[in-house]
Amino acid sequence: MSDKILPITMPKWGLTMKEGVIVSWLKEVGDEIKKGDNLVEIETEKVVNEFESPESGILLKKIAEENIKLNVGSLIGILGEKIVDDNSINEFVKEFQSNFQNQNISEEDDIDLNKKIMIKDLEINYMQIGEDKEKNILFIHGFGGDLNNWVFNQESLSNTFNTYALDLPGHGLSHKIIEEGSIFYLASIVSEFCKELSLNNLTLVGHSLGAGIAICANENIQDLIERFILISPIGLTKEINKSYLDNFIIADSRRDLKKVLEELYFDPSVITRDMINEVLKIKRIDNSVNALSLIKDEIINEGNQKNNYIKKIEELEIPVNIIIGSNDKIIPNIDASQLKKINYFKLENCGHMPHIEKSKEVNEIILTK
Amino acid sequence: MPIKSYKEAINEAIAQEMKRDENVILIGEDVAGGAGTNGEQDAWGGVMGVTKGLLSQFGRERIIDTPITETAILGMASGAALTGLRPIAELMFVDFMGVCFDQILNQTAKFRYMFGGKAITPLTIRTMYGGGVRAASQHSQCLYPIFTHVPGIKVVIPSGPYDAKGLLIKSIRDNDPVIFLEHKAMYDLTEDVPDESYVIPFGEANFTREGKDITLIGMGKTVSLCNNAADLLKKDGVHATVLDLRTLSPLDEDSILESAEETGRIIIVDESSPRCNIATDISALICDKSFSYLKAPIKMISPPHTPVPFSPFLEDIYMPDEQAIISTAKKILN
Repeated sequence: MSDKILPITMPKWGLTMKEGVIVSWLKEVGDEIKKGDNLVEIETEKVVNEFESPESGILLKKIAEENIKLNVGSLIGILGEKIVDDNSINEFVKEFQSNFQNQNISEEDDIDLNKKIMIKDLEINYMQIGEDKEKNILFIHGFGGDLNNWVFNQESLSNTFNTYALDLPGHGLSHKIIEEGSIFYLASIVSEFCKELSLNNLTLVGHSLGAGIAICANENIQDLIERFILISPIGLTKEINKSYLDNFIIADSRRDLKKVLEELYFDPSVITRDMINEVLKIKRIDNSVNALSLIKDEIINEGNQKNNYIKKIEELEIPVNIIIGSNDKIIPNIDASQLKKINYFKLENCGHMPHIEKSKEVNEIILTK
Repeated sequence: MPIKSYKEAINEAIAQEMKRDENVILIGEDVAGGAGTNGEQDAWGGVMGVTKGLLSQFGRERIIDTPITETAILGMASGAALTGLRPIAELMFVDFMGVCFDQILNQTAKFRYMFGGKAITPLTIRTMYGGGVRAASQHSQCLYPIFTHVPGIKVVIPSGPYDAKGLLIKSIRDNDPVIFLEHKAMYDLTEDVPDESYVIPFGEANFTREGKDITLIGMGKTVSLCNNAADLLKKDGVHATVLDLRTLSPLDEDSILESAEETGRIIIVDESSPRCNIATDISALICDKSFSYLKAPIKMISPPHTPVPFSPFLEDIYMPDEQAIISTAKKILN
């Protein structure tokens, strides 16, 4: 055993994260930590989530106090392979902090990774992280979402894939005026996008509405797609929480929208005021609500789901993984025995947003299944 | 998202609304003036150059220069609004409102009510307010409490570029007279601002910091003072919520009371003169509706009850600052 000391630093969840707050420490000094154990709970401007220890060791010291905002990369704690004396710890902290100060200055410049591309006369906003890999992955968000929904997945998977996430028409920073809201129309935009960027060896990841779009896009770009990851997909059950979609469209105040967004999660405390503001920012852009209404009418018919994709999914000749949360309040769980030839993952204590609430598990499935 | 200044955000909001609706016009001093003079391609765009570039896009029919007479600017704009246009009038300094106050107070503010709802007055009055820039007593006042006092006028006071654009678009599209207050020391402040048009509703205050110990309430420029103070207090282990009122009329009473009940300690930071200002108004509201939640007296930080001094030394003492907020916070926390 050596007396190696390892720094634990404020993680960077997604490209826009600049700082985070330790909501609470989940371990005590002296505790044995295994790599992957939940170490602290961190609040960013978008969401509250647990941070897993990147290494194994003994927690030697907590540097970050709770409820203090820290820049990404700041020292939050120290792990060691064995207990070491206070002097060595202090020495280590001192050295880390002086290097960190210097680093901060050189990192000043902000890179905006949003890119725009014209697809069928619509400006589509997307983000690419990672290049020169053999495999591509494209993330398609759900109704009312945007590419930031993949903040816990895109960057983490960029060591394996060239990762792409796009904003659907009417969403995020993409063009807000759309002629029609049908799933096929949206799918045609996605397939054009894949062709335009030559996304071969493609893993297509769709969440909810985005999963339906992924399936419908298949017809045009079969030769590009290697497999599907469908997260809380539409089109498996007849039932859907219609009032969620209605209320999401109507909600224009922070208070109203909070109630709506709470339905998405098993643990609504992940929702922060900033997260609500981010959604409102997009919803308040001209024509955004019109686009959402058009799309809603293509998802729902007389209170039920308009589309059923079970047959389409079963006919696919490539691997399909379906991931759902056991406590989904938007789309009820389907009986897995109804699905043939499909890998089916049901995550416990999880709502409609497994890629946010259970990001580690979802990333694991994407990497290994 | 692109980064824009407060000035650019306002310019963009006006340009986008003028493109969207041909009834939107701009009236003011030097909004078209200066065009073609030495070294100037476009007009000066008002005294601070906020509307620069609009004349060449929209022409003299919609960008209308006036003589130096606020009475004429507001009279013309009110009449235009009443007869179907959607004017934006620029009142160079809010300090000059005395000259045109009857147009605002007795005419514009009253039309809808006195015509039984049959008349609308979609008028936006943009104006500059605030001290700290060595402009002396007649060009440094806040005066927004006076407008807030008058029923029939909406009072909007954005604290940054993002809010400025969304609130100005809302003001222009709104069917009632709106006073839109721009602090002259904020024009170069920058922030992420979407290129597209968007609307921020009136009557929705914005939480810019979250903390459980104390609530700092600000408006316009004092929001950044509150934010800075909150960040400094955090180093001493004090966690402050900051609430940006965004609009003074309508007022988001719910958010104020919600936060007052959460923290029980309130400081209101208002740059306007201390008697009958926004701070006293909010203090009365909290005492009336959430008194039992208070853990300490409500504190108001405002300048002394004097004209804004021209002496730089005195003006610095006059203006509320972060230190005043921090020391007051510590006092009521002990």
